[in-house]
Amino acid sequence: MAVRRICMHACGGITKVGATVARLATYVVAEELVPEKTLISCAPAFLRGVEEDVLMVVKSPSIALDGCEWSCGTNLLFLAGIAPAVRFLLPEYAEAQGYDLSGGSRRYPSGVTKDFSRRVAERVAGIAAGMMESGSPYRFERPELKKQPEKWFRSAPNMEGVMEFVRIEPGVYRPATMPPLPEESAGTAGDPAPAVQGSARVAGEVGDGGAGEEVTDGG
Amino acid sequence: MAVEKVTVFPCGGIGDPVSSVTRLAGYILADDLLPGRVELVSIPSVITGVPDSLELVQAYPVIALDGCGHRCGSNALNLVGIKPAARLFTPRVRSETKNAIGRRRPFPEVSGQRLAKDLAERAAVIARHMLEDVEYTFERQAISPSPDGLHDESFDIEEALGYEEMEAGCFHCSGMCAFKLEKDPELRRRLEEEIKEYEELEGFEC
Repeated sequence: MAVRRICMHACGGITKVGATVARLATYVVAEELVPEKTLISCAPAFLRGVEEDVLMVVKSPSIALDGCEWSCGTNLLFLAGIAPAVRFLLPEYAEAQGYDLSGGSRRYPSGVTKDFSRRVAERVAGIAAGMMESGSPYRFERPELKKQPEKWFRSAPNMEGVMEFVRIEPGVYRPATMPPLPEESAGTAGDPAPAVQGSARVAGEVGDGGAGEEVTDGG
Repeated sequence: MAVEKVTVFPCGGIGDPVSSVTRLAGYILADDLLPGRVELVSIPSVITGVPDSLELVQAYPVIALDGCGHRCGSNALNLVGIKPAARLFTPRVRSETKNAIGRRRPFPEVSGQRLAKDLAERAAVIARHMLEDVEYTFERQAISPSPDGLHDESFDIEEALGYEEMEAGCFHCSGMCAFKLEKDPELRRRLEEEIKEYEELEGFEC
């Protein structure tokens, strides 16, 4: 089905600057850049079973913002049987965009924390616009919510061995099981990103019709 | 016996402005009031299994900060089989102190910042009792999936955890060691004089 809204799914962390960036970027997208068409997914409320928070990640494609390599935003969705349409790995994206998060505040929306969150929000808004554009070929299939507590407590950095990704550009990934983004199909996705960032391993294969590269065992 | 550290578990929400209040309360506790003795943990990192987070909720008593009536912090702990040593329920604390949550989400308005201080003050009093009173006892807990309340808001988390309100907004969990709530004027002075309140932060109106 065509996409009318996107769902922002920030990692929900509290100890690292990247988590605060994820949170702030979500607000910038929802309150300034793509108002009315952005839903904010609340991870704890999703786990709690608050109806709107469950429905939004089932009815709309999610954009996961992971504040660190543990990838709790993406992983929490995965544990419920849901793959995000796009995943941002913020430390890697920050490095690629020239931001040094080492001095950023996790507590206040200031300095590099604030500046980088706007950069992330702008990139998210661009991807969302392509997905929701009138006539966009992008289609979203509603996932089925699963309860898989037997998979809890088994985190691996960058979802290694759990989920495969296509790298759109450094720090921006699409799960290999999700449809290519419109910008991939148009060949206008971010740079080809030949370098390996973080623990990502690039297989060297072009993804499924997109401009990104297949990542075999991690993001 | 007392304990070496206390873990604080803010609700971790994002859509409701109160989540920014509980988050700030966590930072005030960990950064300003009890640095090195309080550790912050987020909900997703426990479910997904980040090793440090798993250790912190098992090895130390956990104070849960529930932001709203959904009680997500308590529910998340119950999902992983951990009993909170104490729970603060923000709506009750707000009713008591009259400091409004506010409407802004990136960072709370001044009233929300004051409410965060109110929460942090109560949590600090409880945490200090756990850290300093030799009669306070705590046994290491072990995580185990307890998915009764997973994606099911009809689950009665208050009953499941056997909460009992000790003072406005401060709850004791059944089966855990009782804690004391002794007011500390010096703590209040520090909160009022040393922790700045912001009306504006680099373009974000508070």
